[in-house]
Amino acid sequence: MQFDKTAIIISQRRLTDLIDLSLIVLRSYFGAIVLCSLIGIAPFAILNFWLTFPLWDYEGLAMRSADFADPIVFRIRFYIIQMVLVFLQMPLALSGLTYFIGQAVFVEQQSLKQVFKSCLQRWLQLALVLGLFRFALLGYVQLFYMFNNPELNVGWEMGICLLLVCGAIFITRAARPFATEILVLERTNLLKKTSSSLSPSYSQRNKWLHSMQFSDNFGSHFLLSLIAAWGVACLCISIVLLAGVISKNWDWSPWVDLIGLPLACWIIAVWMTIVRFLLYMNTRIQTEGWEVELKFKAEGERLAEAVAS
Amino acid sequence: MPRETNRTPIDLIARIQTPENIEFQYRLAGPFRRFPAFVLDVVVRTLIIAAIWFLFYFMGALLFGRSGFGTSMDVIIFLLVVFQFFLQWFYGAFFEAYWNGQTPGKWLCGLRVISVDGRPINISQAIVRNLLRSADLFPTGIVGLVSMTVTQRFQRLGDLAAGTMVVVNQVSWVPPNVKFEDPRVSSLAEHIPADFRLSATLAKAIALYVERRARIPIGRRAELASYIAMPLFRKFGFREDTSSDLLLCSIYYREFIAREAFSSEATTTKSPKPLAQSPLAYSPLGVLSNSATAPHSEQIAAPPVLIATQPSQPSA
Repeated sequence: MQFDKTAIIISQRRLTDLIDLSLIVLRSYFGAIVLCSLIGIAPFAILNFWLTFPLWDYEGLAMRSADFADPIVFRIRFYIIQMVLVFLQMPLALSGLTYFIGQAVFVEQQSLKQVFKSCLQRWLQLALVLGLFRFALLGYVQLFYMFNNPELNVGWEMGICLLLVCGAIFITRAARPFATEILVLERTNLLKKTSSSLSPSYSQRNKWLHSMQFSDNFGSHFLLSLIAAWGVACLCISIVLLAGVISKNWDWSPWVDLIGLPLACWIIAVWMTIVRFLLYMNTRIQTEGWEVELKFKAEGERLAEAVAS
Repeated sequence: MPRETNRTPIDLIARIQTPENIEFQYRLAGPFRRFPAFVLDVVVRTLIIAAIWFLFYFMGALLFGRSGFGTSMDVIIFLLVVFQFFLQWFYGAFFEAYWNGQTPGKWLCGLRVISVDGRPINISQAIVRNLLRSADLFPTGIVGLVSMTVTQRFQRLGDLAAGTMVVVNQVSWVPPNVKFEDPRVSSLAEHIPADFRLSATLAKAIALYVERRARIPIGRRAELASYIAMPLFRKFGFREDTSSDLLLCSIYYREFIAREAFSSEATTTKSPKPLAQSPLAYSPLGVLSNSATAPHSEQIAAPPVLIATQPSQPSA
């Protein structure tokens, strides 16, 4: 690996430049990004579709409900659930994509098999940190419950699940956004193998990487959330317009709810994963002088060879 | 899956080659860098329109009393609507054509529109790119965003039609002010073999390190510096518990601050110059005034006097 030969120029950039750069990365590795994303997203998207299907029957739910007679309430609930699911699951579902981009930076040739093999080697860490602590998998408990009892319980769903749990996850991810990168790219273990081990544990590394950038990370995450929301809205409207032009049917047809909205959410999730990776690089440059480290590693190897010869 | 190995590194840079084979580099402004400028221009336009409406109503009330303009009101409103139309459609074109590719929003954000061949834009280019803005904003800006994503120079439809691109104004680079107050830096520099020459890449890497080190935590400095310092300790015959950070600072001092003192004619160490011209093309945004103080004592394993072997003095 040539540390100073990178596919993306390693330098400190402002947030707007990073978002712009993510568009170039998206264009440059479009095929690979689509493949990695599809494989990662597919199981989650299929499961989400199956489990949320009963919630899509807005009229039926409104008729059975004692509190809400208007189907629009159930429609909004369905949209919120779809977006929350993608929000919770994207770090885990797109961990393969994160690994791929991380390797692509160093111009490392990776096959799909290698990408997912590397991620599967980290399944326990990913499942524990992203799946359980960050609710990517734990969220399915609530979804299974709603699958069997699709009636709306406003207090529980909006109060506990949305505001309390999702709010806590949002704040956690805003404060410490690079959990996937630490686990997948840095291959940090959850616990130190021995107390004298030099390599830090996940929690140590997580704390160290994020502690000096708390306000920057929080601000960036908040701004990116707004951009993501705008992106989902833009894509949904564009999908409806495109479908209208092609089919001459301008109704907000069922496939927009069941396919269009999740599709738009996942497309934006892929984009945000790339932005997050670039932010991770920027954070490492700011806090650890990463660009210096890469240059020094490369120069150090050359010097060592020269000294040895 | 594509296997990319020999492509140009990804960056926000557009390279333009003149017929004389001279290459210029421009830092491109993508959609998100341009967005604040767009918002500022919308605000400026809205303020101008609001001010003119307010002025006419205010003057009308003053001149004609509470009844306003009376029968001439329709004419005034018509003129204002026409003015508003021209402002909406030709505000950008006017400023970009007569203000060297900048609108007030772009000026505040440090952006500029230029032709794809690097020349300033002309009136027709300015008009074309601004007239097509509505197409780019359709239906929610997605057309412009997709267009900018798929083109090499972040060009929206208006830019493609007019042959223009938006770039970030280049800011002149100020060399960082690197000073070493620790006397051990110059002292150790004297022990570096006189025949030691830095390669261009190593010089750049060390310069980058020294200019960034004020922002790097102390423990991390030693970790970073050791990548370079360990082979150099062996090369120079220094003890390996010498501070890595101190060694790199000494090399920087020797190469960029007190170069004359270590030149072949010099026999004694001269007093260091306060300001060094680094070879590093550092990003203007990242310029830091690195008034580096003494390398932290807890990181220095051994002062230079503990160097095991006495390397040759600078040649006379």
